[in-house]
Amino acid sequence: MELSIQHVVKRFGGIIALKGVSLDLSGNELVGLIGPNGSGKSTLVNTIGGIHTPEEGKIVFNGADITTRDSYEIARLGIGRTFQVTRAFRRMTVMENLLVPGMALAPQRGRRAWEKRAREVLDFLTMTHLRDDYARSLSGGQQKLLELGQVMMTEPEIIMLDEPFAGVHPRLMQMIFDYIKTLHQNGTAFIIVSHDMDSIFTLSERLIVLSYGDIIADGPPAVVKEDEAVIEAYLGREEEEEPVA
Amino acid sequence: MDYFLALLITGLVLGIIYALMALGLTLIFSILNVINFAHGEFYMLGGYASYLLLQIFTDIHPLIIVPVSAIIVGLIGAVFEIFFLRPMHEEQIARPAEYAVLITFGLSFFLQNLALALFGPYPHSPRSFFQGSVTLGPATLSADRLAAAVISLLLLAGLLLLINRTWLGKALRAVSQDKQAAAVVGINPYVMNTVAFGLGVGLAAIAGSLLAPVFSITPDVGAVPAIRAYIIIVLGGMGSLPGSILGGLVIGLVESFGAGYFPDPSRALNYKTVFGLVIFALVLLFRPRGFFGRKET
Amino acid sequence: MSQLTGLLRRPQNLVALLLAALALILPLFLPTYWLHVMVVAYFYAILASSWALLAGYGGQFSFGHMAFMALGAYTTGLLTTLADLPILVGIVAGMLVAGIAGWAIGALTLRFKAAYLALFTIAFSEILRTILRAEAQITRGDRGLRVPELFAETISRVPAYYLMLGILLASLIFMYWLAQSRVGLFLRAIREDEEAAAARGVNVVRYKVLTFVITSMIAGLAGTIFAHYITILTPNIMVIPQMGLVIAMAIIGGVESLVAAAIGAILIQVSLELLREFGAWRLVIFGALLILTLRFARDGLLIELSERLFKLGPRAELRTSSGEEGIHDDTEMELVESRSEGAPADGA
Repeated sequence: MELSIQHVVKRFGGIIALKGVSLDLSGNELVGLIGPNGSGKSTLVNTIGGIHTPEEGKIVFNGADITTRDSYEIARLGIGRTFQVTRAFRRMTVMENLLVPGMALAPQRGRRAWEKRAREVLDFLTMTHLRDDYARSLSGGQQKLLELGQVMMTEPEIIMLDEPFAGVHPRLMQMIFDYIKTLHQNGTAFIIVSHDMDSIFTLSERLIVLSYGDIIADGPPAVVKEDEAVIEAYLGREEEEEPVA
Repeated sequence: MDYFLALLITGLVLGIIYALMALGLTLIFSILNVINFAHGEFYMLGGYASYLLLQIFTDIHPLIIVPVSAIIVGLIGAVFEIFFLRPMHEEQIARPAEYAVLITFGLSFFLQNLALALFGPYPHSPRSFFQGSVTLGPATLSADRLAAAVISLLLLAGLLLLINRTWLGKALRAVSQDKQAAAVVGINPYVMNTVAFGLGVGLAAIAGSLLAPVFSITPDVGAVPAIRAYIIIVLGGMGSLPGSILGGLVIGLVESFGAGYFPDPSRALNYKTVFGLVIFALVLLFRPRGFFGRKET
Repeated sequence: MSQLTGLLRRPQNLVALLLAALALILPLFLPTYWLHVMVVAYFYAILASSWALLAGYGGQFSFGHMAFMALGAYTTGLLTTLADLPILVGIVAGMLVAGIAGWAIGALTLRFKAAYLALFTIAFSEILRTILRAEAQITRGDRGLRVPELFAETISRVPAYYLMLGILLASLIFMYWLAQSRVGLFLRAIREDEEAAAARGVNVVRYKVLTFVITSMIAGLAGTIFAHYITILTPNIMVIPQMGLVIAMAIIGGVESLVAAAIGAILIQVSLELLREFGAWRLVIFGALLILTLRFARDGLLIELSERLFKLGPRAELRTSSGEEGIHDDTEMELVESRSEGAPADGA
């Protein structure tokens, strides 16, 4: 897996959300992406995922320029993502939710084969008993798991998780934590956006800090933690500005 | 040259009246985030209200009737808003976007059929405001049409003042930008929704009663003005007040010049509205956010 | 085969099959006039159910369905009169023209938010009607275009009855198959959340346009058959209140079920006949019913009714389970908090 983000600029009206962000990921790196509110974390994820098209710069994935590709193409190329507020298909069953990404990627493999894959995913996530439930009857945490399951269906090379731990009970958090580790050991790369400092420091091998649309630090968590600019821009304010849920 | 000027003046006069209709639609969209697919039927109600009032009050000047019918229709709109749109904003209704489209379209279906049942399919015409016609340079306009344009112009100015200078305007703008923040500073967003809807359909009713003597009223009289207003708000950029005024003028001019220079004059009038659709398609192709639209994110 | 038995396990489906069987033997009992009413009812049922596929499954709210119907009707009308082509050619051409127009409008509007489709199609519909009236030398405008009759050799309504019923059943079966296929799966995902469907790899615009073209062609087909049945066409077949009537039929029946929308259409058309003495007030009543159904029984009256009657099927299960939070949670999951508002907004 090679993902290269080169001088990406994204504006919304007068606001510059990303001011020329550059970033290279390779192999199965597990990268944490943190930064204060409005620093551009979700914008970056959405820009890589194709929901936003950057005004300047380039995004290259495994040698292919995906800067202006639609998000469905990017998903099929092997970049999976979840949303900050879960967006499972509410009036569809858990099984149907899982079939969508599979059938979209490779319909020729057939519904049977994808149902089999879906059962594997449900088994992994210990959600088998919920297979025929409608997504809207699931709890918030279960919907987060379901979204992770949707992403897992097609075995993407890299998964972007937007706030996987927000509003989640500690017990479930530990489960998600373990799933990420397992998938990572099996070769999947991750970009994890999170406000939860503890988990992100333990989990990630590399930590990137965004502030006002700029990368202000990039390195091993232990080093980033000590970085003056980071403490100034982020950690110092973090406590008072938004107590983490 | 005179012909050109005549078309220009006619186009602007039309455009001002169109703008009034579109402004009501824009007001509703920017506050409630709802496209009122019954807008044409409130225009129609305005016409019928004027007609009925003038039947009762036979010796009153018809202009006095216009604000009265606008208020009546505005109140009908407000009642509809409270019963059918407010629950949506109170999050009692699933999939609000599709609900809004369907419920306003359903209202249009209901109102058109109600008018048909009450008044029949035949045209009704209230008394004229003024007799005769007025010559403006090379253009000759019926006095009624000119009166409609002048009143529309005054109303447009008045409405912009209301929005920009008064507490109510400030409250409405606040709600259109951020409902929660507005609520925090003590503005009730639900009340503002009702006010905006009543005001918006009241404007349509004014347009309807102003033009009733010119075009006369039938149950389906609102369809074309409403469609024109839809095209105008897309052209102006959904939710932009200046955009809908500019869009109104552009559509007025396009219709006037299009009809004026159409190769076959016998069909020219019929094709007036067709130009609007062409503009709609061009906007979608080349500038989907219109003149002043906020960029989609 | 397992699919078929699965089909029969739901009582609603059994009722639908019984109704279809009843429709097949109905000509044995009905007088000619009522056969005519049923032909018109089936025509509306095709329109209402195809609109339901578009709106209920696809979440695309078009007000142009009657315009595509009229495109089909006028295409075959003009081809069979002016060019003297066989009716069958006219029917195929009518479907194609409706499909091409659907493709053009779909490609133009479906990239944008849903409201643009509604706005554009309502304008298209009204303006197509204006053109048909304005070009009276060709279309004969409001005086009406005389169209050759499909079963000219007989005065019996029975052949027309079976033809319209056959097309209704065939289009229902085709649309049901489509809804069960991956197209239906993607459509429902798109209806729930377009952006999320795209993030899961669904080519959103492609499937929306595809559905729009298919439903436009079905509407066009209905129009062609109807044209050769009533044998006179005026632009008034596509006025907006006609569109409103089709929408009322689909919604009152149940817009998320093809069969419910079709039955809704038939019931309303038959009621309109039975309530003739109420004249113009009939549509006022159905207008009010449309608004009230939208507000208080969003899934449609027939769906509500069948749920009350049978208390079965996935929809009913859904209703009970969504009310009781955590009914399916095991002990592990009961600990999971259901709120996700903790996530602060970021970026845009």
